[in-house]
Formats: sequence, structure tokens, C-alpha cells
Amino acid sequence: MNPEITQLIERYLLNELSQAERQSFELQLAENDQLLQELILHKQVHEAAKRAAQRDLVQQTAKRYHFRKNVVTSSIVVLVVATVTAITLWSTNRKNDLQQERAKQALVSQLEADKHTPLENIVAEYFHLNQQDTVVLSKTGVLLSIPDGAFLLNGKPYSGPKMIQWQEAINAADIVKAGLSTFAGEHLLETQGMFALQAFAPDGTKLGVNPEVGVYVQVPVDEIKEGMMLFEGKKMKNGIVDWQNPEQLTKLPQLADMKDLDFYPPGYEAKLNELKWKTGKKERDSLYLSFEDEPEDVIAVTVPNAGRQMDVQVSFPELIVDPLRTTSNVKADTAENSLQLRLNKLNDSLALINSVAKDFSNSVFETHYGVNPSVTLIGNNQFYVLLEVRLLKGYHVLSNKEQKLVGIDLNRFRLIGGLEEIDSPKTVMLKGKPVLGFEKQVVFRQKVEAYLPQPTFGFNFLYSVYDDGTGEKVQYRGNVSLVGMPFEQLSSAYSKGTISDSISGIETKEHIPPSAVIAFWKPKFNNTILATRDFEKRMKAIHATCDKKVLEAYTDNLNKPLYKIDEQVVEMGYPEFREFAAERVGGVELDNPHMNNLRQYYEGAVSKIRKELKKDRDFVRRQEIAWDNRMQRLRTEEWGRTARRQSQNSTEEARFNYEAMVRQLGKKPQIGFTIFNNAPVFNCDQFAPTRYAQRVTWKGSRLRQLSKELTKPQALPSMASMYAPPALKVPEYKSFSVSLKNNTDYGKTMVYLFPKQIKSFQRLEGSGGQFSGRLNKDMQYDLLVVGIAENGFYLYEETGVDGGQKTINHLEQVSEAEFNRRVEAMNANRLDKPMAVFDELEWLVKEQQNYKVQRLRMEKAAFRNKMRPIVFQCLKEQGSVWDMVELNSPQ
Amino acid sequence: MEKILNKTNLQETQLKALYKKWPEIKRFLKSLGCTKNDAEDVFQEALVIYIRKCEQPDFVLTVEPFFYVRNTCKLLWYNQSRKQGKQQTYSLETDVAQLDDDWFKKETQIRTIEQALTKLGEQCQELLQLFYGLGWNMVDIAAKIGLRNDKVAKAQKYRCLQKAKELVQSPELQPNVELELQKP
Repeated sequence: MNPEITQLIERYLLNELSQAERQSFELQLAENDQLLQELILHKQVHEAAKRAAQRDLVQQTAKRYHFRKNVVTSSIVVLVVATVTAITLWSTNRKNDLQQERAKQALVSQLEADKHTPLENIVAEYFHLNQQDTVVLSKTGVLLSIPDGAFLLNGKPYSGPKMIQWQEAINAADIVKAGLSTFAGEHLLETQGMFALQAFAPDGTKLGVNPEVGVYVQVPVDEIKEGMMLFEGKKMKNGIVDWQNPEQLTKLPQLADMKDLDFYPPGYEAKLNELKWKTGKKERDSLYLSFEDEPEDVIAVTVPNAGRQMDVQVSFPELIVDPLRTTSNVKADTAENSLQLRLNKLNDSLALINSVAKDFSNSVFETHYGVNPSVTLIGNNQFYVLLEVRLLKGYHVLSNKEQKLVGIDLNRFRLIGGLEEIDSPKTVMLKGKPVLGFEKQVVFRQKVEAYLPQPTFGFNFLYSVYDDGTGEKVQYRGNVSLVGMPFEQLSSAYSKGTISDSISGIETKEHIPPSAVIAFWKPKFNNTILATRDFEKRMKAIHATCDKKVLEAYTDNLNKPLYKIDEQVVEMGYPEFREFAAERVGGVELDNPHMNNLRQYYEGAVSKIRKELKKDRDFVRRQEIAWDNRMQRLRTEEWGRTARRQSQNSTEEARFNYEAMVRQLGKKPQIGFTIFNNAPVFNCDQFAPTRYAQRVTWKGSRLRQLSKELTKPQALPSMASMYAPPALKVPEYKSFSVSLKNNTDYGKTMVYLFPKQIKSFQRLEGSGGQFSGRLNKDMQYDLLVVGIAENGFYLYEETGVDGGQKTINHLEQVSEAEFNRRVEAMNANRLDKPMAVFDELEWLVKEQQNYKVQRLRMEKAAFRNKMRPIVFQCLKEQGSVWDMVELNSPQ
Repeated sequence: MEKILNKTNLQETQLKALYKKWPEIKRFLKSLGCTKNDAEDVFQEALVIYIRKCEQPDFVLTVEPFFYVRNTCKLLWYNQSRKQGKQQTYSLETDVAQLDDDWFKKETQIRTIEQALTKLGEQCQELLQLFYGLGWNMVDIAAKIGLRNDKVAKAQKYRCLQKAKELVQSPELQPNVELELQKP
């Protein structure tokens, strides 16, 4: 069909035709049957489509209807069910409640009516309990715990509903009201409360207490009085209650989860919080463990006199003693009671021992220092430290091992065996009693191994001296430091990888080993006496005793009641545990196999923790030692380099001087003179200028010798000119000094001179920002001042310096690359083949890195120093070793 | 458009109200021997008829819509069961006479065509329903059924219409159509 006609039909059906169009269309319809049929067809489709839409509407309504109907239906079901159930339950309950309530009331009133109360005139409280375990609290706060089966009915455990009658007479008024006395036979008692408890089955049958289970009663008291006991009240014929069959009280330990308990030494967490240290339990455990062997192990620099600025002698590279060059720089402390003594060489490999003994001044001793330290080398990096104690008459040192060495840096040294007494002890009289000891003098010996070459060995020596007459004991402590031990000449035991068991070798008697604490602080030990608030309290006290055995008393006796262990500890000599024993806290029931498992586990855990710890520590130690070795090697190389450079320097300079003089004298040097001795300075008397020209043939070799002598730093230029032939203008030197302001801003400062005319360069001697040297007047020098600090490199450059005094106010900070470049540039800006400066640079860079390493080590040490007295409570009291000066900045 | 929507809403409300009577109709049809599945079809057909009847300008409802629908259901079921040869001894009661027999016959025919239209594609069905049934304009239809614009929709409508006409003119529907065509 023609679309136009279709459109026309459509418009006709939709009533969109104008009147005229419509009339014309209808006219056509009347004439054209085909059109009519088309119209009908169209109309039918039109209607059918409309009908389909209507059907769709009906179906949608149907869908919605069914959906809603379903929801409504199902929710009604639920609701009905719920309602019915609720009503059922409620009505049953109500019925039961009513019945029960009535029964209970009846029972109570019956009891009251019959005056069935053990304590007269005291209002009883009633608790109605179902069969489950129950804890109830009386009005005054007495806690009753009634486990299932706590009562017996006709001799059999009863576990039905029950009623508890509870009476208490705590204050005097109640006691009097009840007509109670506090007599036990003829003894007057001090009471902290009288109580009566009866239990009844719902039918009124009295229940007996099951002795196997019991009812636990906890009474709040203001103070725990020692020796409180539980008495049984017996009504006598005269109506008076007599108290009989006293029994010890035990309190149930208050169980807690291991993760909620705190077994660290008191103040440990507080201090870490104060220092804003990591808060994780894992980290804190790990830190705590890391102190495992430290009571004997002072890594930090010990400070001889409290209050003084930290002596950085050991740790700070600037001041590390160079045993080859500057032994004289190591001054003993200037305190009055110190000494500097020079021991004889014990053998060739021990160059010099510079030892300082302090704080030994006391009338007890023959000498003002009292202890004479010395060292014998064994080889293999091992040596003996010998400590000779000299005593006045009337004083003794006992052979009881009260002597010991502490404060040894166990990162660097290992003690082999204990402190031995070389002499065998004699019987001496102490306060009239014979004891084993020493008089006049005693020598102690300690074998030590150094992990790597060390310039110093420091320790504290503790020993006790007894007064014969009074028996009084005086403890002494000395800080000994041995300086200048070139262990590098010994074979390096360390590099062969033989760090032996430096940790397990130390007996830890005087503190609670962290590993022993961490080993039980595990969920495995939940539900033991250790996982209780009561033990948490004891642990604080255990830390204070510093006696490992006290802790062991608890960890070994998991099956015992706490108070028994408390008593045991009191017997071990800790009266402060009496207070705990008085609390009479009982035990936690454990079946034996379980307990044995736990004990085995505990023992295993301690050794496992220690092993792991040792592994970690050894690793860190190895790294530190490797670093130190590297540093040491570089420094040794540097010393060698300096020596070579100095010699090259003087050779070159001598040559330069010689050539200068030769140039003056023409092509063939003809002069010469004799040097009669080796004195650094030529004596003008021996070389009268007038005789010179006549008597001495000036030869080249002589001239060379002159120029050589001239380069010696001690040579005085004016003198030299006096013995030189008048025609010869002797090369002259002028003094030169550099003074660096703010020297202390840098860890290390050095002044280099790069002469233009010779290959080598010079480093000026000096310290404290003052450097001095000489300049050859005929040479041009470039000056380079280098400062090294932890945060980088600093430079000052100046070309063409001549003598005099130079003050430098400021060094420019440069990067490492820039630093290298500029030093190289300055070095290259000279002859064709200047002496290589590369090694020197490498060393300087390493020194710079070393600052950070050393600072971190010192910070770590300072942090540990802060924590150590907290971890090891007893060490704090021992005094000065632990009185570390807080780490300040080096200046 | 608004008017149409209002009309639709009105129809919806009426349908909702009537559908709530479904359980009653169901019971009624069951009593006439109608199965549950057939019953709902019959009921829905009756509702369609009711709506369509309401649209007739000369239609005047003399009874409650519910009774009208119920009677329609009865008549429809009567017709259907007769066709299915399940002739039962119902006597046509007087209320059947309320139905306009002529209109009803015509309606039956349109229903046949309506069923034939379900053979069209879904898009065609929707398009024709929206246009003829709900009176939407071509722009809205195009948007609704996802055609690019009203011109495309219009062309599509033409095609659908032609197809529908072909269906209606197919041999199986022809006798009924002829019957209708004989009438005017």
C-alpha cells in the first residue's frame, strides 16, 4: 500500500484531517472499496495495538497485586508465629514466675518465722539461683561465687535451683546486735567480718556445702591483716558463738589474659612513652630482650667523673688515639686521684700501655691509687688484664669473688672465664673469725679477647675490702682504661669468623633476664598463676629483687598456690614478699600433664629466645666490627700515606732548594761544607763565614745536604743563612699559621697546602682550629681548608698564599662530588704530574660517613643508658658506672 | 499527553481496586468449573474488556464495576468452554444480556488480531502499543525504545504497521477478518 495513503488513513483515524480533507477522504472511501478495506485493516491493527497496551496495563496490575499479596501474606505468618510464641512464653514464664515467686516468698517467710538465721538480729539477704554457676554480690559488696555442684543434697552434689541465705556482721554495731563475741576459746580475735551462709532447695530442704567445690567468698577490706584466718562458729549451750577450727584463707587469683598484663620492669613502658618510642608490644619486647646480657656490658663511653662533659675519647674519631704517633696526647684525667703510668713493655707487640686508675684513693691502701693494672699479651688477640690490689695492714680482700669487672664494651671485647685470683687465699681473721682471704696484696687476672684491633680497653673494677676489726665492708670501684694497644699486630681472630659464645659465657646472676620474662609472657601461659593480676603485682617486686631465682620460684611451681610461693620467696631472703604472702592468693588448678608441658615449654622458650638473640647480636656486632675494621685500615693507610707524603715532600723541597741555590752559583756548584754532627741546627760557631770560603770546597753534595737540612721543620732560616757562603742566598722560610673560627662546627678540620713547584702536597699539623707550618719563600702555595661534619663537607680555597697569620671565618658547604672536584682541581692546578690526591679523598669521605655511624652508635648507647637502669633495677643502685652523663652534642 | 496520563492513572487505580477482588472472582470461576490458570486469564481478559468498554462514549455502567467484571468473566468462560467443547449445562442468565453482543463479537475479533500481533518483534509491539495505545508522540517513543530520532521511529512505525497488516491478512486469521468485513 502506498505510504501516502497509509498516512492519510492514519491522519483520518487520529482525527487530524481538516474538514475539507475529511470530506474528500470519506468521499473516496465511499467510492473506493480497496481504500475502505485498507482503512478497516488499519483500524483493526490500531485497535489491537491499543488493546495490547491495555492488556499490558492489566498484567502489570496483576503483577503488582501478586507481589504485594505475597509480601503481606508472608509477613503476617511471621508476625502471627512470633506473637503466638511470645504469648506462650510469656504466659508460661509468668505462670512459673508467679509460682516460683510465691514458693520463694513462702520459703523466705518460713525461714524468717522460724528464726532460721544463724546470726540473730541481722537482716539476711536472699539470693535465688538457678542451676548455672553464679556470682552474686551482697549489698555491702561481698562477692559470693557459687559454682555448679557447690552444695550437697543428701550427700550428693545438687545442681537445681537453690536459695542462698546470707548474713554478714562486719562493723561493731552489727556484731554486738547479733550478740557475737570475738572469742576463740579464751583468745580474743580481731575480726574483719562474720558471715553466715545457708542454702536451701526450693522445697526448703537445707543443702550442705560440698567440700570438694566450696563456695568462694571475697570480702572487701581496707587493709589485709596478716594471719587472718577463717573460723567456724559453734553455738555453745549458753547461746554464745565460739569460733573454732581456724583455717587459712586463700584468695582466688585474679585471672587475666597475658596480653592485658604487664611484666616489664616498673617504669619501662612509662619511660619509653616519655621518650616517644615505638608502642608495639613486639618492638618493646624486642628492645627489652636486647638488654639480655647488658648488666655486664657497657657499650657506651663511661664517664669517669660525673658532671664532666662527655669524654669522647673512645668513640669519637677525631680523638682516637693513634698509638704510633701521639701517645703523649693521651692525658689522664687531671683529677687528683688519677695517675698516668707507663708500664714496661711486656713484649714487643705491646707498644705502650697508658693506664688510668681512679677513685681508689683511700686510706686503706698503701699507695694513693691502690690498684695497679697491667696487661700481658697472650696472642691470638687475647690478653690478660692483671689487677694488683695493695692493702694496708688490718684490711683484707676476701676470696669470695666479690670482685668483678664491669663496663666492658662487649661489642669489642669478650671475657674468657671469670676473674681469677692468682694467689691462693690464706686464712685471715675477720672480726675474730677465720675466713679465706688475702692481705697485703692480691692479684686478680682476667682473660680478654679483642674482636679487632683496639686502641683502648676500658672497664670498671669493683672489689670489696674488709676491715679486720669492725668487719665492715667497703666497696670500691675503679675506672681503668688501657690506651695504646696496637692489637692490629696480633693475628685477627675475628676475621676468621670465630666470635665465640660471648653471650652464653656470662652468668647473669644479678638481674632478671628479659628472656625469662618474655618466655612466659605468652598466651600459652594463660590460665596459670602467671596470667593473673596477682602475679603481675608480684612481678614488679621480682624485678626489684633482681634475683632470677625469685622468678624461677614462680615459674617452676605453676601448680602451687601463689601464697605458698610467696612464703618460699620470703624464706629466700626477701621479707618484702611477706605482704604478698599475707594476701593468701591461691593457685590455679592445672592438671599435671598440662603443667609439665608448660614447664618444658618454658625452659625451651628461654633457651630459644637466647639463641635467637645471640644470633641477632652477633650479626650487628659483626657489622659494627667490620665497619670499624675498615675505618681502622683506612686510618692506618692514611698514616702511612702521610709519612710517605712528608718524606716525598721534604725530598722534593730539598731538591727545589738545591736547584735554586745551584742556579745562583752558576752551572758548576763549587762550594761545600762539612757537617760535624747530626744536630738539626747548624752551629754558627763551627762555621765561621770567613773561613768557609777558604777552607771548604763547595761541592754539590754538600749543597744538597744543606738544602736537605733546610727543609727540616726545625731548621731556623736565619741560622742557615749564617753558615751559608755570603755569595749564596739561602732559600728562606717564613712561618705560616691558619686559625679557623667556628672550628667546633666541624667534626674534623684539616689544612692542606698545594705547592705549585713540587708534586707532593702538605698537611699542616695542628688541632683545635690552629694550624701552623712554614712556607718556602720561593714557592707559591694554594691553601685548602677542609672541614668534615656529619652533614657534609666544607671547603675554603685560596690561591697564592704567603706567610703570616691567616684567619678563616667561614667554610663553604659543598656536596661530596663538588668537594672531590675542587680538591682535584686545586691539586691539578700545579705541575704536570702532581701527587695523586685520590686516596686522601677516599679517606676523607669515609671519615665523614664515620661521623654518622659513630653518632648513631652513641645515640643508641645513650638511649640504652637511659633504659638500662629501668630494665635492671638493681644496677641503678650500684652507682657511678650507671650514672651516665646524658649524651650531649660533642661540644 | 497529560490527559492521557491521567486517564491511565485513573485506569490503574480502577484496575488495582478490581484486582483486589481476584480471590473472589477466582472462587466464582472455580465454581463454574474453571481451572486456576484459566481463571486468571479470563479475569484479565474481562478487565481489558471493562477498560475498553469504559472508553466507549455511549457506555453507561448500570452495575458496580465488580459485578460487570464478574459477569464478563462468566460470559468469557462460557464462550471459552463452549469452544473447547466442554459444554456444560449452563443456562445463560439474564445478566449476560447486559453485554452488548455486537460489540462483544467485534471485540473478540480485535482480540484475535491482538494475539496475532504478538508475533511481531518486541520493538514493533512496543512501538505500536506506545503510539496507538498510550498515544505517545514519536519523539518520546524514539527515546523510549532506543531509536535515533522521531523520523527513524516514524519509518519504523510504518514498517511495523505493514508487517502487522500482513499478519492480520494471513490465511489463518482471514475467516474472522472476512466475517468482520462483511459487516459494514
